[in-house]
Parts: sequence; structure tokens; C-alpha cells
Amino acid sequence: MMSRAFWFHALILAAIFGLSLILPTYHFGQLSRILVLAVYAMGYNILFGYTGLLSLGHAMFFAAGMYGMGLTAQHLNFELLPAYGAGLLAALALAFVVGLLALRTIGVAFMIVTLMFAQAGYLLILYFGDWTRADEGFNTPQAARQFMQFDFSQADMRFYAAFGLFVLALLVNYILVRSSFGRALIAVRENEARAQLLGYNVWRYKYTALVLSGVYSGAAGAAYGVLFGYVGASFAAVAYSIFPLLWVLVGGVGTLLGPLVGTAFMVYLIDYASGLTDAYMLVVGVVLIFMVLFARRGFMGLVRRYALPWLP
Amino acid sequence: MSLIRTDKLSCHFGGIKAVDEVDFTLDQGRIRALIGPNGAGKTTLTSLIVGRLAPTSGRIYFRETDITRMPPHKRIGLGMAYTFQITTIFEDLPVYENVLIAAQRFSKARGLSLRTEAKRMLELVGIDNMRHQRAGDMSYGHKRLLEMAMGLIQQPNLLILDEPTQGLSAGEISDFVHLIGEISHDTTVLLIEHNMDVVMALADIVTVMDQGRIIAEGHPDDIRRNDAVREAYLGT
Repeated sequence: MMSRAFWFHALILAAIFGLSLILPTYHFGQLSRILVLAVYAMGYNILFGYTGLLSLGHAMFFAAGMYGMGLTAQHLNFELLPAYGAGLLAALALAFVVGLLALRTIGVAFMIVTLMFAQAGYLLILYFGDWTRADEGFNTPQAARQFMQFDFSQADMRFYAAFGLFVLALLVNYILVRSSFGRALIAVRENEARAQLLGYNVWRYKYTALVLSGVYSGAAGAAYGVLFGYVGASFAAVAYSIFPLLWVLVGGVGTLLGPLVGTAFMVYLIDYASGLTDAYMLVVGVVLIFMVLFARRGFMGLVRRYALPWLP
Repeated sequence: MSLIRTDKLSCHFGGIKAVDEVDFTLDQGRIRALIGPNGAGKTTLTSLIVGRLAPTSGRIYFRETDITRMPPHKRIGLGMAYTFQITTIFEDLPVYENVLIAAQRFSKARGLSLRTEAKRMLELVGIDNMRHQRAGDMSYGHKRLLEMAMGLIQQPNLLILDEPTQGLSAGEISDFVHLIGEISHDTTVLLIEHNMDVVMALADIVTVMDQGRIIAEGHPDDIRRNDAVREAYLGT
């Protein structure tokens, strides 16, 4: 059924595409970056926003995708498609295992366990520096950056790829949250005890959400490595676990477009603030404090509350 | 065959024997009331039956199948439904969504339209006109009715109601008594209740608990005359 929510999101996508045609070069590049990172935030939002599980270790899934792609391209000479597939597979496998272990905990313990796993992953990347080039990182081989005549290191192709990935991720997310499965995730988020006593296998829903979230993050990480040509340990560091949390909080927890809005806002805020002062994180901090005080639901949360209550 | 049977079922919290070697049998059909003073172990017993708590010892059978170690969601799948003593709904979601969440696992199997069923159930409990409201914004009485609708839409074999009339007005209580009377034709109801008028109006058999044990069981009129029950309630 094509509802108004469907057409609303289709319209937003059309607007983004339209925007790409008129943006100056610098902002055109930024848009590609934002779209890829928004897919990461969207994945985070499936677990945090819709299922209610706060992870502090999602960088491990982003990095699993990135390194799964990068290492196979670098050392096994994989071309784009197999390398990208390896990235997805790495994130999937990691999510399978981490989910089994981390979901034995809840609340603060879950945050700590995911943080620890992510730190272990980060340190592993540094430890195996012979292959990963540790802190320094490495450039994604050109063979993994093109497919037939399409060269994704070019700005235009890069945007099309980022946009395509974003559309696909948004569509899957849209179908998910409007399905009975999505409704069950929300039930788990809102009241776990109640959901269980309505017959829902709460653990299974959480696990599925975590794996899906991990695969989204990995898909974004691998795409980032392909499109921007660099694989580095900084993407596995704790900051990259905190970013998606911030993006989602700012954009709107548990909304479909929140991740995109939050990512765009934060990327440009940091951009703008670092033009003003070296202490740009101070500006970011002040803005975040204002958000927490006056717009706790994030931008799209406010839109949903006051203007479009039917937004998924 | 019994619907629920417990065999020397115990649940201890530290030194407190909340439920103490209870042999409880509930046959299919009609309405059973579970009464007793505060702290008698009524909620603990029903929590053990539905799986919210794990017993210290003893066994629980549903239709003579041992379910002692079965996780709660599977017990619900067998046809139990449970409404909480403290209203437990999805406060942040619309009323309608609450019922859909309760219904969607069952409607597919029964080939019913989810939305039609949900609407019918809200009409039955009388809060259909509020279906787009945020559930948390409703009055306490309406929340209880929503909780009832969420239990009923599962069409359970066994509906456990933990103090359903607590905090309701006299008018709401009489509507409630009527509603329970209606549904008890198809569903076995286990009712924890303090309001004796409700118990007397509805129950076919009354089970009385005190200090973790069952001290009496029988027809409502007999229970009213029972000395042990009087002692537990009045201390005389």
C-alpha cells in the first residue's frame, strides 16, 4: 500500500537528488559523505531508536565492513563486488557473535560490553599492523573502487553510489518499521516485560535487530572505504561509536529520516564550528546541550509530534 | 483434565515463603476467584503460573504438560493471557497500536483481519472512540479497559486478571462485571480480587490464600461462612 508516508519519503529522496544537481563541488562531496554516514546512523537507529538498545560499540561493525572490504582488496586483490561482499560478511559474522554474547546483558552492562568489544576490535587493528598499517591506514586499491567502466573515485559516480545505497537502506528500513516485525521491536522498546507476556520472544527480536543493525553499519563502512578511498583505524575508535548515537539523538530517535537529518546537521555544524575556532567541539557541545534541553526528541521527533504524526 | 495444576509449588524470597508448597488445581471453564489478605501470595502464585517468576521448587502443569521451565512467551503461546496488577500498557503508543501489538501474533493463524479484530475488541470494552489517543493520556479506568482488551483479543484459554477493579468507579465496576460474565463462556478466568461484591457476583469457586498457602476452597457462600477465612481476614 502506497501511503502518504511512502510518498513523503519518496519526495524527500527526489529533493536530495535535485539538490545534488545544483550544489557547488564542495557541498556535493559533503552530500555523498553524509548519505553514507546516514546509512550507518540508520543502522544504529534500528537497534537504539526502534528496539531501545543503546550500544556504545557500533564502530566495530562499521570497521568490520570497512576492513573486510579493504583487507581483501589489499591483500587478496579482490575487486569491488567480492570485496564489498567480504565487508558485509565480516560485519554480519561479527554481529552474529557479538549479539550472542552482548545480549546476555541489559542496560548499562550492555553499553559497557559493546564498548569493550569495540575497543578490543580497535586494538586488534593496531596489533595486526603488518596487514592493517595500524594508525596510518591504507588507501583502498583502485580495483576495488571501480566496476566495469564506473569509477567510484570520481565525484559524480561516488554520489550516485552513495545515493543508491541510501535509497536502498531507507526502503528496507521503511518496510521494516511498517511490518509486524517493526511493531514488535517497538513493543520491546516500550515495555519489555509486557511484550514478553504478550507472547513475544524478546531475545529473538533483539538479536535480529542487532544483526540487522550490524549489517547496515558494515554496509556503510565498506561503502565509505570504497567511495572515499581510505581504510584507517580511526574509524574503529570510540569516537565512531559515539557519532551515530549523537546523529540519531539530534535527528530524532526512532524516526526514519532522523538519522539523515542528524548526520547532515552534525557534519555541517562541525564544519562550520571548525571554521570559527580550534575549539570547535565546544560549539558542538553547546548545541547538544540546547538540543537536550529544548528538543529532546530530536528534529524529526519534533516534526512528528507537532506537524506530521503519521511519520514512521 | 485440569487446565492448570501445581504440585508442591514454592517460591521463597530470602526467608519469606511467598508461596509455600501449594497444590492448586484449576479446571477448564467459568470463573475462579483467588482471594486473601495482602501478602498472601496471590500475585506470586499467578506470576509463577505465567512464568514471570521462577519457582524455588515444585512443578506447574498446563493441561497435564509440565511447563515449569517453559519461558513466558511460550506459555502465552499455549493460550494464557495475563493482565498486570499495576496497569502495564505501552503508554507512549496510541490505544489502537497497543491492541495491534497484542493481536498480531494471533490474527494470522486465525485468518482474521488484524484491524477489524482490534476495532471490534475496543468496541467491546467501550473505548473505541479513543483509539487514536496516546494510551498514557487516558484515565486510569480506561487504561484498565485497554489492558482487558489486550488480554481478550488473544482469545486465551486462560485469562489471568490481577486485581482488575482496583481504582475503578462503581459504574466502571458494574460494566466490568458484566464484561467478565460475557467472556467467561469461552474462557477460563482466574481472578485475583479484593472487592468481595465482585467476587460474589462472578466466581463459581473461590480459593483463599494466606501466608503462602491455600487455606480454603469452595463455593462463594461456603467461603463466606468459613472460620479459617474469617480468621485470616479479621484475625478473630
